[in-house]
Amino acid sequence: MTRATRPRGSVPWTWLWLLPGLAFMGALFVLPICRMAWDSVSDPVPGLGNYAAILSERLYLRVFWNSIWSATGATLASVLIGYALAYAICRASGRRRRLILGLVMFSYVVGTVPRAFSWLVVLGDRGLANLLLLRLGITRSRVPLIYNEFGVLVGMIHVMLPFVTLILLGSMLRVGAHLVPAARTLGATSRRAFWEVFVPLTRPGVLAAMMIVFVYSLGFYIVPAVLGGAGQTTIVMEIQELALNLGDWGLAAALSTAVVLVSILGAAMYVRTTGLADVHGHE
Amino acid sequence: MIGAAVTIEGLTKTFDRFTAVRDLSIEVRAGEFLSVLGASGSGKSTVLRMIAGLVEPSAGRIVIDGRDATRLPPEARGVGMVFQDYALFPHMSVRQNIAFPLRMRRTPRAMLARKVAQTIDLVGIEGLAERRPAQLSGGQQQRVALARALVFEPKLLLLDEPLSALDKGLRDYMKAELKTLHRRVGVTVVYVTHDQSEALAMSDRVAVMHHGNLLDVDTPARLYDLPGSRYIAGFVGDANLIEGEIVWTDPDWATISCALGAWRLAPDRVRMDAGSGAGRARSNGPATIVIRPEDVAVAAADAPASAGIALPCEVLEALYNGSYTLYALRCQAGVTLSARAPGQGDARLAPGSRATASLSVGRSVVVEPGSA
Repeated sequence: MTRATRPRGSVPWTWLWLLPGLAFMGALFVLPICRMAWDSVSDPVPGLGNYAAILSERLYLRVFWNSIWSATGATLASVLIGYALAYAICRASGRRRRLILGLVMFSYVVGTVPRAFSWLVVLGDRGLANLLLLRLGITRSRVPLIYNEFGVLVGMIHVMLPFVTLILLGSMLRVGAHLVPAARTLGATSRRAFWEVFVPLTRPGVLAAMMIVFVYSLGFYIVPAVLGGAGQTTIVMEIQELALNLGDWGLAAALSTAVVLVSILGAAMYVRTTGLADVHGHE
Repeated sequence: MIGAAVTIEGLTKTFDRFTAVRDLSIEVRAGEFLSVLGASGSGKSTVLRMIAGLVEPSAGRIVIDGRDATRLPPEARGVGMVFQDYALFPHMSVRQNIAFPLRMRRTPRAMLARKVAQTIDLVGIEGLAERRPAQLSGGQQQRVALARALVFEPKLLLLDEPLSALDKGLRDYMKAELKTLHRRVGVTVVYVTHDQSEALAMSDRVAVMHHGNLLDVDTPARLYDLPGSRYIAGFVGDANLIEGEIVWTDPDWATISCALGAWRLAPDRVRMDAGSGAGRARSNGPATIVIRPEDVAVAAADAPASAGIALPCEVLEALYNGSYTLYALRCQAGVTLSARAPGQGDARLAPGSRATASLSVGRSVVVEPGSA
């Protein structure tokens, strides 16, 4: 194929188009982050005192661990559930597909806060879930479903599921329509065709979804605040506490910087494993 | 190897209210190259997918190599299939693609390697084994798809418009390749296409489908020479379709009449009700007369008249095509005929000039009347 020749000197123009985006990112993202990193080593006194404080204080490490732990759980669970859901949408045709997709999109537009609170109604001690468990005779007494790890996980999965489903669905729809049928005619059972053809081809989508859920979940504030107990204090809640209630901006900045670094690490691992294949297409 | 015979009885597929294939019965002989020819939406691909087991029939039976396969899942049918888009697995190398069906059959490693190498040899893709499908040209991808569908030595090979994605030169070349391959391997081939020239060139027999119905199954030569219906006449090759009538039939001759004149035809050239087998009992009445462009000779008006029916006419257009020239002629009673003359034709036959059209009426065919 012959490529249309571009007029000379078009490169500076390309950059001009990028300028608004770059200016926006620079002013509202890069600069504040740099400022935050600077604060973490200069407030209240210059040096690495804040980081030393984080490492020496067990509370911060535990809170950090809480965040990573629940982010990992939310990642695995929502990708697993999302894969099944996206597969169902992918296989459904016409009206059914639009219906399920509509439900997914609906929960997406409702927003995080109302969704988190709605779980109180369902999972609370006198909530729907407990009522059902008791009525069906599955449990004899009320089971604590919120203000613990479980409640946080449910809330996080609920928030992340639409993202995961849409990412995975996009990746599934890119799998050639004839590939699984071809595998069947070549002797693969439906199970083997799924595992050896369909799943490997959706791998980039799975990795993309995992990265997004993980990085996003690290920053969760509302869900653990509403559905978690004291043991589920996350890093973001701790930062908020330090900055707004205790006024320790330097320490808050140091913790924030650490979160940013962990997120970048996650993203970098993702880019390394996929080579950004599904960002610029893999034709 | 001897290919499998396939018997299809009363095959029907309805999607909601739409009938894609209606009561189709056909015998595919062992080792035969059968084309299923039809326009898009004729149901030809649905038939293929039902044979492969990818679409479940609403009614009917499919027997492959003596075994009722109607309810078998695709993987149990042992049928090779090449898809229109080739459906190569993009995450596997050429070698892994070709090895896939053997791996599914748990073929021992040494035998797997040997068979893959043999098949790579068979389709002529040596040196490409470690590439990914995305790194191959269309023609190479097609060979890989063929290799993958043949490596497990199926007795039946299904091809779904395998040439339609290739450009013309390569397509003509691959026609010959496929035909040679078929002869060498001996596998039964069911080949779905919308391209009548592919069907005519490669097949032992051609099944013509239209709106879910099987219109006729016959050898390419008979389909072209003695089309069984108006649709087939127009779809397989070019044809002049002239409305007329049968005025008299007796055991030896049928007398037909139309705006171009009247002539007698041998009974086997009357193909009324050819598909239904109802005979020619009610064949007196309106009919469509099929005259192939090559059976219309055109000469300058002052040239001596030749055999058959000679008609004065006017040249509307002359289209030079290299090996032949196509003329559009307007004859008496406003009938427009298309005529095909070898080579460059006669220089005097410029548009607007007077000419004489000579019809080899003995080669014309009578089919059921059209609605138009």
